[in-house]
Amino acid sequence: MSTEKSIEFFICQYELVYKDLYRFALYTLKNPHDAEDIVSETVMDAYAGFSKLRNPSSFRAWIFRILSNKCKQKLKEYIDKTSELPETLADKSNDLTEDLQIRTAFSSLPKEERLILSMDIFAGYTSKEIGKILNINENTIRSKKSRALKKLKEQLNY
Amino acid sequence: MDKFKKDLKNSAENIEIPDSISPEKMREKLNTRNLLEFSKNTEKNSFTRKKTMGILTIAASFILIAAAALYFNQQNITTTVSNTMDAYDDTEIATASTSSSVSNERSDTDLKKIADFSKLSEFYYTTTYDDIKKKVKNVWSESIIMSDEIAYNGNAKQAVEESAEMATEISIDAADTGASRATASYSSTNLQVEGVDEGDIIKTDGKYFYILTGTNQIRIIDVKTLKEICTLSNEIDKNEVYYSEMYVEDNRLILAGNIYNSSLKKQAEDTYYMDESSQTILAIYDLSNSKEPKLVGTIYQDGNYRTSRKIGDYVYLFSDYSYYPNTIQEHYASDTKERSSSENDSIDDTKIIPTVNQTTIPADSIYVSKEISSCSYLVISSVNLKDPSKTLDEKSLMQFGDDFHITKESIYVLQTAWSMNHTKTNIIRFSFQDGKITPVDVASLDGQLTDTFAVNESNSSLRVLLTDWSSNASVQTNSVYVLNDKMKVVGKLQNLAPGETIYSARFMGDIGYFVTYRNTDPLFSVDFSDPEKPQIIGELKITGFSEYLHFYGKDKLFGLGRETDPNTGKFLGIKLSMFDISDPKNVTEEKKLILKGIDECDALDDYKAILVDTEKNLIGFSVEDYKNNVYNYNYLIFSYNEKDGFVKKLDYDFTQASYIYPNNIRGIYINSLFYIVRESEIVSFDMDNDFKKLKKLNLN
Repeated sequence: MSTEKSIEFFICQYELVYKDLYRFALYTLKNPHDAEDIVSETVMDAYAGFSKLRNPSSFRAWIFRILSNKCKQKLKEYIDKTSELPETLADKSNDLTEDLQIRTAFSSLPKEERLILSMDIFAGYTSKEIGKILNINENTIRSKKSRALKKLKEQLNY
Repeated sequence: MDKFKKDLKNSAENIEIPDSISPEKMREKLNTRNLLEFSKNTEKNSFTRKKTMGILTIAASFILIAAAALYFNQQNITTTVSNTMDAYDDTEIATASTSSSVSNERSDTDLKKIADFSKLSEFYYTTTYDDIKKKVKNVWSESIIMSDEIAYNGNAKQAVEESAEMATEISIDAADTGASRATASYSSTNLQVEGVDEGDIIKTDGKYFYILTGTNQIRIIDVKTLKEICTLSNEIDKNEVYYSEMYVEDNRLILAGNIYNSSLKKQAEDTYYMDESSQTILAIYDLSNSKEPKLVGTIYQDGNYRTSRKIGDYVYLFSDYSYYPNTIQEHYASDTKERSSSENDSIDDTKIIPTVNQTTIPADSIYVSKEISSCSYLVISSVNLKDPSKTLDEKSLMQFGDDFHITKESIYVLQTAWSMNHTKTNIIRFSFQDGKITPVDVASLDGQLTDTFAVNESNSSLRVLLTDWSSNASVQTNSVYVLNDKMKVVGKLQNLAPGETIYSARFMGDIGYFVTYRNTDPLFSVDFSDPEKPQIIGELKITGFSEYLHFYGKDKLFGLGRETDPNTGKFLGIKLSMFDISDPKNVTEEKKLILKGIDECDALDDYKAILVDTEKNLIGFSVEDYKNNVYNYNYLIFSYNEKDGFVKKLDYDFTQASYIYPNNIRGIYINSLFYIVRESEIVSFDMDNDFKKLKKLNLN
């Protein structure tokens, strides 16, 4: 059936990005369950709109945009602090200490900075693009980004 | 990507990816859902099914070819219609036409009247609610794609932008003036246009300081005693408000930001969900008794707070509203049985058109873009502060504004339109008077605004400086345009400074100054005295570049920026320049001062963070430097004279041991005292006594 083909097609593209999608969501939300759910939701929404994606080479930028918006929405729910688990990114892992340190430092950042840095690092958006997606002035994005990076560097004695 | 960012990214490499989102599991999930959708659609709408089936069969052969060649062209993809989406669209539109009759909208204005707005017709038109709804529903997913084209098309530019990253594109301020704030005995927010007030996080009326804190409280502090007299909470009607900025004038405190409300909504028989929504709010408080500010009016407007201006008693409020169908998620709710019953109810048709104070914006006040499909709106409303419970006028434009230039009589909304090999800026002009907002016309120009201050109106002509990456040339060029009050281009200059980008600009009367940068800083002077023939009359090349320009008296132009090594482009520090502009044809750099080793300065990103006052001869801003793993923060004040150049008057070190990144610092003078104000402290200094430190109030 043709629909199967279109799913196949979609999955081909998804395969290239899904790890980064999950890392993005996990670093931004800090909560593995929410990260899992939100990636899954993103896939469902993305597939629904996939037929309208005119330029497949922008699949990555496009699906990350859906995910960014969902994470932004989710972070808003975290305003009610109880829904944000006290868990840090480090809890889940038992690997290299250096990575662990980085993840601990990352999870200490405020939520907006986590989102902005994830959009830079995992999705590869420029400050201008992040600004467009989050409706924030790009200069503000730049200063928030550099501030967040500085905080991390300081914490990690970089 | 620099090494540090790489390390950050790599730290995620070893994280285990849950099996539930693996491509295999997702394929299964999509297949299952598809079957369910398919059977459901068959029952509901056999016509849709037939139609879709036909398309899909044809599509199949295309896809095979495409997949084999690993190359997908546009057409193939568009034909890969998923039957779910199609059916979904149909249902939505059907709902739209039935529900519009029951909503609380103002009745659709008849089309004849709408046609009168034909002035805007080249780019924008007005239409009926039903048309708007249909358009929005059809494009909501495409608009997601559009911004990918931004991502995609932006790639070529990326290198340029990233390299400019460190040297953030500027801000300039206080347009035509720079000149004196007249007789006022206290300083106010650094403004783009004299007489057009802008909100800020710290304000004073000479008697009190008003500080908007990170926790969204407003703290009111007596200037004389430096004692806190009142803290205003951020709750209105039990909802939390996130204020962005405020205004203080004539015993009124005006707060602008976003209010979050959550309510429990019914999804199905026994299922409820939390509906969280946010709106823009303007809250007006009476300050007759400063100890007990009294809420006298609130304006609620759909969308996220964008910006605002205050001109006399009138406030103009701007928000960005996006329609995003929540129902998509509900649509895919795991329990498919529930879905069929909830689907029709849950498509919230009323959300498509933005509202102001619970009233839907009239269809003839919504300008729909011909060029751009969008489900985003810019919403503009006006309020008379003397009657702060209602709005006077509302207008809406499809598509957000990227930049604004607001004078005492006009609103210019600048929208960047990106396409494959072309960047354009559409400028929409509204005129306004006493709260009444009228659309005038639209211009479309090649290029993009890179600095807020690079657009300026004077004597009803608009001067715009744009950087254009999209021409056929291999590098960007810069253009100067002059438009008349009907938004027609009357004069232009193109192909200026190829390979460079506009970093800062400022206009004084007939002369405009702008800075572009590659390895040296050319400061251009443009003569606009004949609007039809703008002319470059001067070009000064110096090292480094200015990111912010501010007129310093009649004959001088102050520039704040960075010094660079002209050979390597390496940043050497923050640079203060004073240009002599007494002869615009022959501008010289009279004096300069390099703050070596200092790498950050708030004022480079935010013009409201700098104090420049010609009359008091003061230039104040905060800086940050990093040495031996320690960050140092200082507030610096300079004065200027032709002989000695920049003279440091104060260097206040507010470095703290704690892990706090101080930002949002404002320098304010009131009579002979200078105050450094921020969320956690206020420090006062005696300007008549060598800036001797007087008092300090801790606000923690």
